[in-house]
Amino acid sequence: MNLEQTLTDELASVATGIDVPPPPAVAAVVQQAEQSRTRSRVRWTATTLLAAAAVVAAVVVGNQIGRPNAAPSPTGPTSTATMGTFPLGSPLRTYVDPAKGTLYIDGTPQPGAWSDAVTLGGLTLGYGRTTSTDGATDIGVFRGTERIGVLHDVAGPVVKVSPNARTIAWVEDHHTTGVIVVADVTRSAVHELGRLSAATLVAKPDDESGEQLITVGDDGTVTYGGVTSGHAWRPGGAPRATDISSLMYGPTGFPSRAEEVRLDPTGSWGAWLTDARDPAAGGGFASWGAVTFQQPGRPATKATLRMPAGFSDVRDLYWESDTDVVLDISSGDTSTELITGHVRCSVLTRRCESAPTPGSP
Amino acid sequence: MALRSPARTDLPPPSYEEYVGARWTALYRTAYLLTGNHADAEDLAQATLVKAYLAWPKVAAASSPDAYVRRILTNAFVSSRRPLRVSRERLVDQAPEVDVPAGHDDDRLVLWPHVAALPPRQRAVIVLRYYEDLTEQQIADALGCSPGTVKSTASDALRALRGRIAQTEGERS
Repeated sequence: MNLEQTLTDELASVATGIDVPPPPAVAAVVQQAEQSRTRSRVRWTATTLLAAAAVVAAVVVGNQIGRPNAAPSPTGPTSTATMGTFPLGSPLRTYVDPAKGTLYIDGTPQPGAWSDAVTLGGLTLGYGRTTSTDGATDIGVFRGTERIGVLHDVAGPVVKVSPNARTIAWVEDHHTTGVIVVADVTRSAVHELGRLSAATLVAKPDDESGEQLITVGDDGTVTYGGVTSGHAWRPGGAPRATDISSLMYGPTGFPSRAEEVRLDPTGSWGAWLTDARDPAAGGGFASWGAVTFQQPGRPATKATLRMPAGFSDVRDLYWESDTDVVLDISSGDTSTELITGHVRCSVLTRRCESAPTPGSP
Repeated sequence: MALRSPARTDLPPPSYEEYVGARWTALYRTAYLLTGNHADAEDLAQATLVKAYLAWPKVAAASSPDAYVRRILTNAFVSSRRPLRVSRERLVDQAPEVDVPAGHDDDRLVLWPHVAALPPRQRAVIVLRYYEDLTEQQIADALGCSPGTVKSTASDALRALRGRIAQTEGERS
């Protein structure tokens, strides 16, 4: 057998023999991209551990005490749910109307056209709709409902926020070099604390030799690095080598099977999506249908809030505050991935509520 | 048709929408060859489109948008340490089996089942080399490695395929 010719023939045969599904709706891809852009742009960097109460779930509780690696127990089917299944809660604290581009912060519409936003503590970062030909995104910085500055030329665009939300850092792409900028955001304007140039920071997302900004601390110390090296730098000082291995691969202290754990702003709790597998189903894929909380390194605090039937398609989660997680709910139509609702779950009360969007009836 | 387009002309760069419409089929076919099943192929292709959108000004301005997108696709595939659907759905119990496309006589596909069983980087090199018909340098660009690494990876993959063919034939005899 001519192995290489057979490979060529078979791969061509397989590729042309498959049924190619229709392309996804571009609008849905764009929405997914904008959502992923915001979710990946902001990373809380807290590591503080706080005590908290034991866990009781609201909808259904899957208490995993003593079984830190166990999957949540599947529950029997319940009646098909709607948003009305949950008590009506307060509107989302931060929301961008995808049709109009209006940014709402605590119910107050902001001037400008926005693609997404996130609020951390009293700080909101709003991501402007891209209008420039080079794709640059302006980022509005809000303290409360007051806009205190606009960031330009942010690489990524990724902005790191310190645990107390009083300091931010980002990288500016100056083509041949990257510049880390650290700023205080406690005043009525974004106040720069210092800048540091490093050629390794030029944005090359797929280049493993490159470095990236990783965290910013409350005192303005940033960590940055890559696969081969790590550094720490505080404005006014000189960079020094540091071990960043613990920072590169996400939060620790959670079950090995937990994926994409998101820490709350203080680092007290982690939350991640888990599956909602129908026990009668065989192998294959199961949709996310539950959220699990746990304090880092404390498996006894782990608990799962499972969405009722009809909500078995949770697309994403983010922390709205130190205690509340918002779940983005999809229609379940994987061809569109449109977000159709939001559910807010409290780690304190172990209860969930629907979170209407500002401006909605 | 592989993920390759004719040489660029003086035409303006395509819009994102135009690109998706024109290149989806090619993108999906390559994704299918990389993943070996429709579910992961669709996720990989869509994830690639999401990343391409986020970098669209650079993609459209590139001398070869297809090469840029191919790099996104292969890196997304090779770097994924887990099932592609894990961000929204997770794999349970058993990995899906490699699909045999409709209309194919399973016995006629001697190598395909073994290609799908290769480690991701080897599989990517095989697909880029023998389906996309890329040079070692082009594959190196797509995977972000040296041509030497491509050469050694391809050699390892071909050796593994020969070994598995020999093993299969030995079991049949």
